[in-house]
Amino acid sequence: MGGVRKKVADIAGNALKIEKLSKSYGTLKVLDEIDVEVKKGERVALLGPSGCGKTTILKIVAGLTRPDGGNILLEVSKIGFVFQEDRLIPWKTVCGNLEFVSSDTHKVEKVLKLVRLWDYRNFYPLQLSGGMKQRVNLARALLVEPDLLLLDEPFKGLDLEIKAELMNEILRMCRSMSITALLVTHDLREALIFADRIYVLSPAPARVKNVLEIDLPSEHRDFCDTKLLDKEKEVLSQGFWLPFGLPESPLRSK
Amino acid sequence: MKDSSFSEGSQSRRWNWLFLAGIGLIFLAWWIASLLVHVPLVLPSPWYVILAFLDMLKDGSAFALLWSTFSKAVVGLGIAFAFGVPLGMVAGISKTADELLKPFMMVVRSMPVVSWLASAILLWGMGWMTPTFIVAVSLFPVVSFNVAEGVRSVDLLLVEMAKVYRVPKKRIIVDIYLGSLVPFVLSAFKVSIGTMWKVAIVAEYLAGNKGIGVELSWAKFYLNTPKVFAYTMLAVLAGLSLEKVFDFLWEVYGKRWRISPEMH
Repeated sequence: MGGVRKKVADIAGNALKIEKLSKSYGTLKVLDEIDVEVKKGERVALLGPSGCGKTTILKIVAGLTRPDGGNILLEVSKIGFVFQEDRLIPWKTVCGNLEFVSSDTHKVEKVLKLVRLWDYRNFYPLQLSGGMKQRVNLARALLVEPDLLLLDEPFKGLDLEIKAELMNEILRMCRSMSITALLVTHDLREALIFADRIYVLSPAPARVKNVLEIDLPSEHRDFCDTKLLDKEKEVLSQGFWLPFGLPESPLRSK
Repeated sequence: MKDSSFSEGSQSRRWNWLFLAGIGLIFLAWWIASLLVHVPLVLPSPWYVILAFLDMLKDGSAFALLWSTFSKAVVGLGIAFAFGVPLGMVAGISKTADELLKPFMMVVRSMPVVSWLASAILLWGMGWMTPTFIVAVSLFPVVSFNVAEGVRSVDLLLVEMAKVYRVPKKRIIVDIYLGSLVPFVLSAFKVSIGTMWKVAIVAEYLAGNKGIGVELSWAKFYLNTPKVFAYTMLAVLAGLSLEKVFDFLWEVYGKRWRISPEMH
């Protein structure tokens, strides 16, 4: 049968619409009729346990994997992808890695200054810390001036301090450049800090179990902010999201 | 920082001294063995060998011999790379091609040098062609095997990244595929420059008209054992120097490729 990924002129204010998305790897079904909407300028998180198929959704949106069923409707054309692993070419410098994606040296300089890595432009990935590599990963995604930024667990394996720094960096970019962003994560706190809306996914085959609207002001979107921690407690107290198999919450919106 | 560089420097000096002490030990053991054997025709004293070696240097014959052997070895190495790199790439990219080429590669790898020599002598006779050909066929499997492994080890996540950003195919091939190959090609090169001397000298010994191998053969014929040892010393020193030059260049220019475990 096969699913469809296409660019459309207008999806009623949405940058991306995922309809009844299904995908199996052999006999293993990983996605089961997923519906997600991402409005223009919005930040959305897909929250689910490891191995539930979150990354597969991003790969399908990016056009790297073909869906078995459902539709991916994109109103945007330029996609930036911040990968889970930095995916930097080890034998190229920071600058070389960015120039691999775009030969526009002015843009390269601009994004490297944006992520505060201009002084490290001649460093090789091996000479950078994990957090710096992820910032190069982010810079590469911003280099294409994306209309839609896909973030695949970009904070995985980073310690809290670097994680917070990178999160602030990403939020700053998204706000200042009005970028629509879709983050996948298994970490509730990351999702709460980042997103305007969270889609909670079940274990594989992933289904949307709940949708949470997050109305936290930007000043409270910090890893140690008490308001955020209260929000986290509130969500946890609903009891639906951990473990992922528990009954659905009344918070689920239409 | 200063402390660490100081300790690195003193450590390096320590290794250098140990290396020199190791050479001294070889000479000492050799000298003692020659005294014990006491038959200069079988095992001459190192002093006689050193004198023969210095004679070669004085009359300049050592340099002419070195150049003769070196040129054959380098041309053979070039031929091995010219055929080994593309064939290795094909075998690395396509499983079908790999399976098809496997029997041929196995034959080339396992065929004794003397079998190649017999055919080469019939084809080209005694001269520079035969040793060059022998070097090429001996190194060719090493090069193609390393290149095929290099192609197979390409990080497909990098290729996927390039696809997301719609990087042109030509750039993907040059920057990712060929980039990944470099440490493997250099590794093949390092192994080859160590082997090419030995192979070239054996081939000259059996079918050459000029070079270290030929002189070695004449020295053996006239039972001039110190000269046999002196030519051997010349070959060993030349091989080691070439490897050292390669290591130095690798240290200076190979920083970016040193991430690969193959070259550590």
